[in-house]
Amino acid sequence: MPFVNLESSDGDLVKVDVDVIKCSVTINALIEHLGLEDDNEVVPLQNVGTETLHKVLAWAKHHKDDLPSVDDDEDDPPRERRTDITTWDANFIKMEQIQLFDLILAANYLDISGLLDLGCKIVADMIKGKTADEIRTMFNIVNDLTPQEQEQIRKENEWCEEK
Amino acid sequence: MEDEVVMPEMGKRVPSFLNPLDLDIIMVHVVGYLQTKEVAKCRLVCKRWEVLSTKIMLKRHDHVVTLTCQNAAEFTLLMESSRCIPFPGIKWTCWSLNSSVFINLMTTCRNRGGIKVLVLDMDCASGFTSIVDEAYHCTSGRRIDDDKNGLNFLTNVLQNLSHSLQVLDFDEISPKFAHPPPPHNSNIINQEVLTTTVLPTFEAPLLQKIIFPCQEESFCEKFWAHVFRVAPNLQEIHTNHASQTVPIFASLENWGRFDQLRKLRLEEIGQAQVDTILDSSIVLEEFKVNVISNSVVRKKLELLLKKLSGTLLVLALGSPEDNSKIRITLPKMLKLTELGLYHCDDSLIVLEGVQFHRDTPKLRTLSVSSAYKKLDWREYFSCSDDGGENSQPPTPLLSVESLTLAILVRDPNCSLYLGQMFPNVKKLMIEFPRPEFLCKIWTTWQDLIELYIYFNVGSTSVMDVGLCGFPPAWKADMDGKLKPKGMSEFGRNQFLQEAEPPVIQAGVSNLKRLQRLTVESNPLRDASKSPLLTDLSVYFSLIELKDLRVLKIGRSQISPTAVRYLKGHLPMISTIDIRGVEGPGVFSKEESEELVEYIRYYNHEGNYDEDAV
Repeated sequence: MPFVNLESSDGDLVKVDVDVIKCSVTINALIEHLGLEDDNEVVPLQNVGTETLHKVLAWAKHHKDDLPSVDDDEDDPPRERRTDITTWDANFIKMEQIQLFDLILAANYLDISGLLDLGCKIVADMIKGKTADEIRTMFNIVNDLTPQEQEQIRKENEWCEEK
Repeated sequence: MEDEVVMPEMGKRVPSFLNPLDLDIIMVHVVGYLQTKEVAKCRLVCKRWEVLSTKIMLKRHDHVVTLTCQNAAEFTLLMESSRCIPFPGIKWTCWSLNSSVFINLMTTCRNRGGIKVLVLDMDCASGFTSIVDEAYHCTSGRRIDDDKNGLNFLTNVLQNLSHSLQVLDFDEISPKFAHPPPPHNSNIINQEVLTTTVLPTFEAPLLQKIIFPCQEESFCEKFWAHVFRVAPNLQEIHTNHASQTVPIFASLENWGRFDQLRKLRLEEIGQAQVDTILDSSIVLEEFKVNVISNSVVRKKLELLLKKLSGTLLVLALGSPEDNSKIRITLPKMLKLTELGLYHCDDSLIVLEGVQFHRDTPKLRTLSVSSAYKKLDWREYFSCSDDGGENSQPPTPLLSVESLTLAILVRDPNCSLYLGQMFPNVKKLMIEFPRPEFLCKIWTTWQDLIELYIYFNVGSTSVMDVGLCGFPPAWKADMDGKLKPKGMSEFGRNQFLQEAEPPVIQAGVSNLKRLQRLTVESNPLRDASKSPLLTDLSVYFSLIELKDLRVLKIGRSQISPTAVRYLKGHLPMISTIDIRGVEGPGVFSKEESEELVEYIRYYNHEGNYDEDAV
C-alpha cells in the first residue's frame, strides 16, 4: 500500500496511506506533480500544524470509503441540498473555535470539500441568530465602523429584516 | 428549510492572532450557508465584513426576498436603501398592495437584472384571481373591466416579468408541506377581459416552472393554452384543482413536448390522462396526484407507474374519493427518494407485493396520511404474501430517514410496526397523534434529530392534510365555513386539548440527539388567550436535550425568565419560538425556588458524572 510523508508546519512528519488522503485535491496534485515513488518522499504542508493535520487525517480516514458525491439533483437550487451531518461528524467537530478555524483553513488549503463543508456549516450555525455585536465577540473582531456608517448599513439592511 | 446542525463548544474566545485574511477565507465559505438576512447582518460587524458581505449579496442569484412593505413610502425607502441589491426572487406577502408600487418594483427589478422567481402569497387560496382582486381593491374599488389601473397593473406585471422569469408561483407552497390549499369561492372578475387583454401580454420564454391554483375551468382552458404557446421551456406544472386537469392535458397534447416535462403535480387524474401519458414520450422525475379518479383502470395505472419507474425521484398518490380501494403493484423504482400516500376516510391505496427495501432502495422520505379506519399496518407495510397475524416482522427499510404521518387510526401497535419497518428515522413529523401512538414515539425512535408534532384542537378534516404533509400556517376551517368532503371530527379528547406540555414532558428527554422540536396546534384559538407555559417539568425535560437548537411551541406563551433559563441551559440553542414572550415575566416564588433546586441538583449530577469519568 503506498504511503506519503506529510510534514506539518511544526516540522513533524506524519506517514499517511495515500488512499486515506486522496480526498485532498491539493495533496493528490502534489503527489502527481512530484511523482513520489518511494516512501521517503516528504510533502511539506506549510499551512497546517501538527494537531490540525492529525484531525484532518482522522476525518479523512473515517471518510475514506465514502463514495464520491454524485449529484443526483443537480437541477435543484443549492438551498435544497441535503445538509445532514452524521453522528460521527457531529462528534468529531465538537472542538474549540480556534481549532475549528484551523481545521477549516486546512481543509481550504488542502482542498477537501467534505471537511470544508462540515466546518463551514458549523460556523454558519454559530452566526445564525447572533447580533453583530455577539459575532464580534465570538470572532474577537474590533468594530471599526463609525456610528454613522453603522446607521447607514442598518438602513440599507431594512429591506431584508424580519418584521 | 434552514439547516440545523450541531455546534461546537461555545464561549471560547478566538485568540486575537487569527489573521484577518484567514478569517476572510473562512467567511467566504461560511456565508454560502447563511440566509440573505444573516449575510446582511454580517455587514454590520466591521469594515472588512461589510465589503465582503455586500459583494456576496450582490452575487447571490438563488435567494427569494420577502417583501412586506405596505405603502408607497415604505417602498420608496426600500428602493433607496437597497441600492444595488438585486432582487432575483421575490415573495410578496403584502395584502394592501398598491398597483403603482408593484409596477415600480417590477421596473426596478428589471433594471437590476430581472426576476427569476416570483411568489405571490397575497391570498394562498385564490392565487391568480387575488392579484386582480388586489388591483381592483387598491385602486378605485370598481370592477376591473372598467378600472384601467387594475388592468394596467396586471398587464404591467406580466410584461415586466416576461424577459427573465423562470419560476412563477401564484401560491406559495413550500416543498416540505406541499399540499394544495382549500377550495376558495373567489369569483374571477370578467373572464373576457382577462382572456382578451391580459393574457396576450404574458410572454415567458424562460419560464420553467409554474404553480397555478386557479379553479375556474373556462379561464384555465385559455390560460394553459396560452402558457404552452409562450413558454417553450416549461418543465414543471403544479396545480391544485381538479378542474385544471383536462385543460392542462388538452394544451399539453397540442404542445406535444412531453419529453420536456420533468415534474407534474395534479389534483386529480382520470383514465383519459393516464392513456395520454402512456402514449407519450414523457419522462418524469416527480409525479404527484392527490386523487386518482375511480375511472382509472388498475392495469393502466400500473403500466403508467412502470413507464415512469426508471426516472421517478418523487411519487405521491391519493386514493379515490368514492370509498373504494385501489390495489396496485408498485414496480421497482430504483431512483425513488420520496413517496407519499394519501387516503380518504374510507378509501385506500394498497400496494401489493411491494418489498420496499428491494424495490425502492433509495427511499429517504415517506409520507402517509390516512383516515382509513381499518388500516392494518402489518398488512400495509410488511406486504408479506400471507398478510396474516403470523407473518414475520417486516424487513426493515434502512434508507428511510424522514417519516411524515397523519394518521387517524386507532392502532396501539402502529408505532411498533413502524419502528420495526423504519428503524433509522431521524426526522419525524406527525399530525393528529393518538395518545397511544404518541406515548411510544419516545422509545421507538430514540435517535430522532427532528420532531414535529401538530395537533388539531377542534374539528378538522383529513382532506386538509393532503399528500405530503400539512401546511404549517394552516388556516383551513378557521371560520368554520369550509367543510370538505371526508370530514372527520376529532380532537375533543382532553389530552389533545392541552397537549403541548404533557407531550414535552412525557418522554422527550429520551431523545438525547434531538436538535429541533416543534409542537404546534392549528391556529383556531386566539393567540392572546394562549396559556402561559408555567409547567416547570416542561423546562426540566427540555434542558436534558443538550443538542437542541430550535424549539417551537405553538400555542403557549413563555415568560422572559423561562427563555433566559432555557438559553442558559441549552448550549446549542439558537431559536426559541414559543408564541411570544408577553407573559408575566417571572416565575412565582415557589417556581423560582423549585427551579433553583432543580438546577442545583442538575449541576451536581453533571459534575458527579464528569468526576466519575
